[in-house]
Amino acid sequence: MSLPPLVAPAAELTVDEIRRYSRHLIIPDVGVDGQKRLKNAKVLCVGAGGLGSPALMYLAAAGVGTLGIVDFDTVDESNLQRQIIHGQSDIGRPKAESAAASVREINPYVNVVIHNTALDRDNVKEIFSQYDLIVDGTDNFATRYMVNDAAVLLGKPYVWGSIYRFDGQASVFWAEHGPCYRCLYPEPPPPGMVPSCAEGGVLGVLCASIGSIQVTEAIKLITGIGEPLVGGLTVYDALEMTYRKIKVRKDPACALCGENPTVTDLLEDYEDFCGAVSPEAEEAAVDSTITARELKDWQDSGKSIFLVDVREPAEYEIVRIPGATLIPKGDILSGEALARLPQDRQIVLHCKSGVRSAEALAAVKAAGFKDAVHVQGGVLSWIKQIDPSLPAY
Amino acid sequence: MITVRYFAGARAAAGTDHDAAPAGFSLDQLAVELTSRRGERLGTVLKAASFLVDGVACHDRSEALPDGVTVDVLPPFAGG
Repeated sequence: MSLPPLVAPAAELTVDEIRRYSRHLIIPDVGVDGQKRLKNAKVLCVGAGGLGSPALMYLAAAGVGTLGIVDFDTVDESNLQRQIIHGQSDIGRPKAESAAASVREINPYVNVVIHNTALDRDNVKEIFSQYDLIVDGTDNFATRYMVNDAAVLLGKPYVWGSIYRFDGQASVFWAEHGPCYRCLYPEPPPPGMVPSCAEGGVLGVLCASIGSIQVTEAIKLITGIGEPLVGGLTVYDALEMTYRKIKVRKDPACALCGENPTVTDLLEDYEDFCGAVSPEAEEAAVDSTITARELKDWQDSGKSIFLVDVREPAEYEIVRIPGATLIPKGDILSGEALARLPQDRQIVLHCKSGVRSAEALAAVKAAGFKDAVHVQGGVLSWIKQIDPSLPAY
Repeated sequence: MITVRYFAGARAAAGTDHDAAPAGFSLDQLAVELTSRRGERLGTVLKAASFLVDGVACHDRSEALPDGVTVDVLPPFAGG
């Protein structure tokens, strides 16, 4: 299914622009007309991170006239393995500003709009309404459902991409012509079941593989060339080096874009919708959470505790709290490792940031270890509060 | 016959990219069957995965699947 161009052409290209974009202009399908459409286009990148980096850089180079960048975060050293729009000297700088500087360096003819803010239910529609097309490069389910809902409610197309370790997925969601994100994933996964890139890692260059698909689709939509990835999902496997295209159809029972929608406006709270931790974990953590400082005091006072690190072996290799025994969360939830927990010492669980340890805590308490606790903020809090010489990741 | 195609983490957990099951199975029955065939690791992935039946998300997991359909198993991830 081909679609008409999303954007009308700008009045003209300057002599400088004709020189710059000559390799586009001589492709018959793009031509002067297509380049004028790119010049007139307003594209918003949600997130200037892994996917946002290549997306913004190629959209800028391609001559998209107005590029919006929304990101509330600052550049961290652990971003630089994949977020190539930022460099060493940008560490600590707001990502939106750092990305804007790179965009201007790549192409001074781009009008860059910086939204140095967190996208939320109060600003998302107002920000989206200023653009023709959205590129989604966010890193969590809550924001992804919000981006989808806002785009559908405003009738905007958006190019979606997602990455994890060696796997990537990309699609174009546009409810007027095909399915939306909720047609593909009607419900967010149960909390704690799906690791993020911060927990599970991501091959840096995967961002380029998926980000470039997103830019390709954005250019096709703007200029009206080719077959857009509406109603299709591209699944990329870097280890197998395969791209598989799956057909995704509009779901008649979709809560948002189906025949009888039950979601007719943005949700009140997307964090709540996606559940940062499960209700069981939340309940288990009440009155059973200690700080990194309290853990240190317990250790120093010789209190009889058994400290369990519930992260994965690769994380344990990177950094660990002294005295911790590694028992990955999965082995605790399956019940396999419960026999390794001593009955005569107080169990203290920790992970990277305190989410997985809360899940494990619920299982450990249910198994009868009533006085078990977990460490708020995990090993990251330990590094910050107790031993800043250790590497954060 | 139902054709099952595994993607991303589901493929890794199953150790194969496809499976077959008899027609008439519901998605719930399919999940039990595939877990016993391929192991608990796949079972965990199936709990969070989206199932597309001939391209459409399936809401009723107890409904019998007709002969000849293809079920795509897609584990969600949100990294960016």
